[in-house]
Amino acid sequence: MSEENKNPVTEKIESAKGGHFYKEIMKDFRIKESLHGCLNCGTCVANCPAAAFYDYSPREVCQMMIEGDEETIEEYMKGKIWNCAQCYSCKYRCPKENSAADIVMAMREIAVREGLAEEALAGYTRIAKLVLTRGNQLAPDMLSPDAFPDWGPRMIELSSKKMEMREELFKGFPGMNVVDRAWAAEDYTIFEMQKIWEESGALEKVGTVFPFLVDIVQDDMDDKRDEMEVKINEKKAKLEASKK
Amino acid sequence: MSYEINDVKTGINHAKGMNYHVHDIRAEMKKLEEEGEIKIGRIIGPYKEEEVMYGIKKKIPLDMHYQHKSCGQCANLPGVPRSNFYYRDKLGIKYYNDMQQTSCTAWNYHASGLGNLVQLASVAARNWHRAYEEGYNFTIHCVTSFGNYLEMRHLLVSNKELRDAVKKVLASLGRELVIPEEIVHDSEIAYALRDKIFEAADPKRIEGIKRLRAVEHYGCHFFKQVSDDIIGGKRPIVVGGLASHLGVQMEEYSKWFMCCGFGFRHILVNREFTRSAQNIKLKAIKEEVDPDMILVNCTGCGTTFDKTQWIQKAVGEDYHYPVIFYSQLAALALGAHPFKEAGLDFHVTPVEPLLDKMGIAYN
Repeated sequence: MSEENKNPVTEKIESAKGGHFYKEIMKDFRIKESLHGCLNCGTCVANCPAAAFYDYSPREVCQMMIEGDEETIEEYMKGKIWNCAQCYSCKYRCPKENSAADIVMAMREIAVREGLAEEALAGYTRIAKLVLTRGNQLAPDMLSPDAFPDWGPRMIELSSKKMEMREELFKGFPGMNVVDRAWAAEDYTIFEMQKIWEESGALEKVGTVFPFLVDIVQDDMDDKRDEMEVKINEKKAKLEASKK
Repeated sequence: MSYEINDVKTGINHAKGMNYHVHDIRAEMKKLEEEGEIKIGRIIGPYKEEEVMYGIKKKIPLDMHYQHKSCGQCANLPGVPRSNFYYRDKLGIKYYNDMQQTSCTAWNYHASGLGNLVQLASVAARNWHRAYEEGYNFTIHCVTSFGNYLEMRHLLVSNKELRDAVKKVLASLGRELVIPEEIVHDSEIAYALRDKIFEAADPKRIEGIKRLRAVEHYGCHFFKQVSDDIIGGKRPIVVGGLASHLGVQMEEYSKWFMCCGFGFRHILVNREFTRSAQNIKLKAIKEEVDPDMILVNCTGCGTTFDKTQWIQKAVGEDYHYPVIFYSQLAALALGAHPFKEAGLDFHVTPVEPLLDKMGIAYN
């Protein structure tokens, strides 16, 4: 590492303290950009919506990492990290340009990988399935009044009329009037998305929380793999030709 | 309230004078391109320069827009993408609504921790490449996609290890790493087009718009995740800037900075947090302004503000502020039917009182 890329704060602790979780978190290259010492000024806490309602503190997140305090880190790993709203108000306001939100993101990734996220992700199956099988994260069908009773009576009315309303709104816009996904992404596109998850190791990670989803995605990919790989090979040839 | 770049500009000059962490991503991208590390997807056609942090000029493309849609908007507030298409049609701007686009997956990532940086950056780069191969400028409807793509650009430029991993994934798809010259949110484009929108607007609609008082709320991922690449400097100006240009009287409120409570995972599995955060925002809006509408540019915030007012009756509050996106306001100014073309009937908080005040028929 060149001198200018060194971060004196993280370098110092890395060599001295910390247990398993601390060491795992420090492997994420974002941490070096997210910790520049902490004044304990509390500006982050004053601006944090999660700190207003939960036992969660962005100041504590920065402090526990600076101290290499494994006990507190473990407390966060096992629950508190899921309180963060990922709004980055802490990052925006911090006079030292720390980012507790980025540290929490690195920690969430590790929590999933290490099998600590099952409870936090209960109720998340539908989103994960949609991303991996449709290339979208949300669909009109998911917004059923049963799932969102607190959104009021107008949701019930909207839900029953959504097909006709969408047809009217998206007249002349092919692919937009669908209800099982946000727009009609093509099969080839969905395959590309699945391949990204497979090649990047992210699909394997999904298996730690939703093992059945990995089977669904792999079956789906196997069904169309031969056909899709022909298309991808054509694309590769075209790209090679354009480079010459 | 003024939307000229004034107090923000002081901030820019201050930062320049201090030479404090001035980070010129454009210069770094150019260097990487010269070294053969990346390609830059350059702006096609006319553009307008607007000032961002440190006085850097951001090029806002005025034509040939690849429409990176928002899954949340298309599913939940479909009047927003429809309005985005509408104002382009009215102004004669060419755009491409691609069915080979995927979600950016950043909502999933921030909510769940599922996925990883290589996956997230590869999804970004695949969508960027779609715009490049079709010959369009990459433009973004969703604020979380916008924040995510700004961050992915930064990480890909600054980290060779990530860049190499992403290039490998892209090669397996027959694609290459082409980073757009500018990462542009649709509300920045509407702001850059404010004169054209005003000139092309229906004078009767403008008359109605001039009767309105509004507050604005910006998505956190619009300006807090990567805060040096939005028009105006540290505090965003594009939504209120467009609205005040069209004649809306914009008002200030003390909780403008606060997160709406969407929280990515909270809106799904922890809505008591969402409702509580909303109550703080809405209370300040009511007590300090009591506006005709709340203007937004973010999918998650638009959803949260629109859907979370009714339930506040449970704590004795009565909120009724129509939630309108910048592009829905632009579409209305340009003569759109409020339901059939701006999709305002998909909103849960009633918009009819607002339309009545504007003198727009809706039945």
